[in-house]
Amino acid sequence: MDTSDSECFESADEEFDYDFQYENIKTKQNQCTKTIEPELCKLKLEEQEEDDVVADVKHVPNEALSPSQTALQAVTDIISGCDNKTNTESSIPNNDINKLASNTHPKVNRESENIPTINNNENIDKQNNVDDNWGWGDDGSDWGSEVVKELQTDDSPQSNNEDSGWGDFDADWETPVQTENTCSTKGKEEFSKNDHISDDYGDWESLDKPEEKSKLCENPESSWGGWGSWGVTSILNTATQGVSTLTSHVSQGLSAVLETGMGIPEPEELAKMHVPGRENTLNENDSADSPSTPVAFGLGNLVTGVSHLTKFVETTGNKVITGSLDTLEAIGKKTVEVLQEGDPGLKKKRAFLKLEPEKPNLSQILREAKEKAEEENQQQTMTAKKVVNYEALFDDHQGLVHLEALEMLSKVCSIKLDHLNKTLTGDALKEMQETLDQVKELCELPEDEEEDIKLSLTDAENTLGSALKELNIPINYNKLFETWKDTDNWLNNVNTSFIDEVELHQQAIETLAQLTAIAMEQFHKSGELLMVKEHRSTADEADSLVQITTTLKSLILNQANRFVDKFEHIKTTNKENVNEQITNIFYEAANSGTYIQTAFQLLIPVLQVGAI
Amino acid sequence: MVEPIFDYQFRLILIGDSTVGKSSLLKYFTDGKFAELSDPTVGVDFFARLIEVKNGTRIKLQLWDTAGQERFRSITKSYYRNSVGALLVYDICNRTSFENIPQWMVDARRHIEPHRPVFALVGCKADLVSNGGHREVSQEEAKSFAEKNGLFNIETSAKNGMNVEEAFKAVTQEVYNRIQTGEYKVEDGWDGIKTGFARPNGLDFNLVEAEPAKTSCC
Repeated sequence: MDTSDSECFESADEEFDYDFQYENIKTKQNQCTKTIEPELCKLKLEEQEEDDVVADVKHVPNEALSPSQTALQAVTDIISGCDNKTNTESSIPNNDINKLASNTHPKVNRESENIPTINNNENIDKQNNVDDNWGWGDDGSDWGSEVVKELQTDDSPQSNNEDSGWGDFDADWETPVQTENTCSTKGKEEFSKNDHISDDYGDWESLDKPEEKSKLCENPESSWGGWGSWGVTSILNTATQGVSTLTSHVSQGLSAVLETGMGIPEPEELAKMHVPGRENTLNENDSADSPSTPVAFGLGNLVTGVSHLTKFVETTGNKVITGSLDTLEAIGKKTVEVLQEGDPGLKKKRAFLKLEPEKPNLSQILREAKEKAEEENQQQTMTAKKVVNYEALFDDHQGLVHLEALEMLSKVCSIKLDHLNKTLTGDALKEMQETLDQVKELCELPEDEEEDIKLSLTDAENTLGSALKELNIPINYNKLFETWKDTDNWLNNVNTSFIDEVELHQQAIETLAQLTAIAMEQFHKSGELLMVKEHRSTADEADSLVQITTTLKSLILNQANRFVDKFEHIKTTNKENVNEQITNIFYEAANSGTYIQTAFQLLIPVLQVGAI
Repeated sequence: MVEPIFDYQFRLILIGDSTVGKSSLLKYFTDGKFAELSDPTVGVDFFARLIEVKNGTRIKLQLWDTAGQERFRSITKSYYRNSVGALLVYDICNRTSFENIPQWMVDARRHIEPHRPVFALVGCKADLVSNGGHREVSQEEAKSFAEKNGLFNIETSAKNGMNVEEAFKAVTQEVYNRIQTGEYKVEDGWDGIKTGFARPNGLDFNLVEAEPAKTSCC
């Protein structure tokens, strides 16, 4: 970027200088040949190449010159260019002229080779460009080669006009100049009129010159520096050229544009029409040139050549305005070309510029990122909650400690039975063993647990109520029914669109743990009460407890199913997570069943003790 | 990220005659509430609360509320074994309940053996005395008995909460001190003292911590 800015700078100067230097060459050639017909511009490719090499060699020694020197020289250049201006015949590229010279007049060729020594400006400017000699080609290698191509295919400047693309450039450039020539030859009055108009501010124009030069230097940097990022030096150079020329000459050339810039005939026509006139022009230029060469380094001489200056201004202004428009167009074309390189239809660039709706845009990306983060958060929360799983909740509801207490009771009873087993002998022992086995048989739980899956609260209340009656101890399952009802309410009223699977899972596990803890408590209490019960009826007790156990297990499974059903109604982003949690609910439901069954089995010694 | 919500779990058992107020004492301690009427305890009930000892160690108290009724006596005795502390509870307006304390203490000592629990003598219903009720057990009597047997002694009221916190705090601190001195150890097969286990933060455990007026949400 930095370098491209300064490059910009230098190349702007180069372009600038070169236009005039080119004109100088022309002038010299004119001095030698006097007349050059456009038709003579037909070239041979080999000769072109030879000349390029010559140009290259010419520039090597000048590399040491600093940009500031370049700028200074450029100012001088403008001035000298002004003096020489009227000769301008840009329809013939420099090389062509050289070629012409070599073809027609050996002396010209020699002269053109001498140019570096004669004209300092050229030495300063040309440091890198291979294609310097081409009016536009010196912008950069890309460009230069294209122009070369164009020119190689064309035999004459006129035919360039028929080509689209870069060829047009040269042609368009010619237009104003040709017009100018036309004007100058056709109507001398017009010219003199222009002179008069320009005379009015010719003096201050000359005074302003240095300032304008500095402006020239600044402008490319400030307004076009950014283009360096595209890495397309040719565009950059062109832009700089166009803009710098434009800025320096817009004000000057305004009047000229008004008078001569409108209604320009076709360049080809003009070229044909005014070929004879051009001769005159060139002759005129000859006379004008004679003082100009020494003037090249001095400002003071400018004042004497006001008329030349104004003419130059008119031409350049004109040239610049039409040229700039073309430049803009060219920039546009070239930009599109560059953008489309390796990117047909500009798909990538459009996507980059968010022009294609089907491509992900920034908000979409942000949304996705947010969703991802939320998912991760959820998973973290879930793992955190999973640590407080069923076991912890079961403990919090005192389920574990009731089970532990029940184990203690069971152990006490077992010890008692063992003691009896050791003390009893004979028939008594046999009788006791039979009784214990009978109790065990009574306490066998039914194999199929599919029944009563759709157990209703009323059914459960009835079953448990009658079972407890049979058990004949003052306990109740009211606490369990309360919890059941609370869960029912929660399940019926929960808004499935406001809870996620994590919440639902948590609620399910909480419910299962609570119900199971209540069951533990009641089994424990049942054991205690059975132990202190005065009149035991083991068979009824066993039957009752089997019923209670089966009912409780069904209740747990029923609740689990109801929670799992709810999972189908909630909106979820993580199907895998849901499946995992459904599995977990069923797992804990099975766990609850195991606790209930264990508690029931712990009661068997209690029943056995009662039976003996 | 995960820190233990308690460092130790102590199992304390409350013993004493029926209707002296064991359940009410525990209810106030864990729930901050006083129930005018309550059913007699069947066998044993359970309460839990977190409490901090002086150095900030968090202790989960698992409280076994035994039935005072004679008919459960044989059952409740089977629960003594795994306790590290025993609160001997009497009613200061019930002379008999105080006179039965030595028996409760002997039973507890025997059943908890070989472990030697921390005992505390806790007189209940102190509010009745200040409301003109008839005190049957003097503070001096209780104090002399406690000193004689090396017990901590305190009078409480579950109705106004007087000294409830202090009673449990004193026992907990003493148990913790004995852990520090190496007298008590965490032992396999004995649930009097357990080390706490890790639980994640920010979850409700149904343990009312140090804020008696708050009800548990589940």
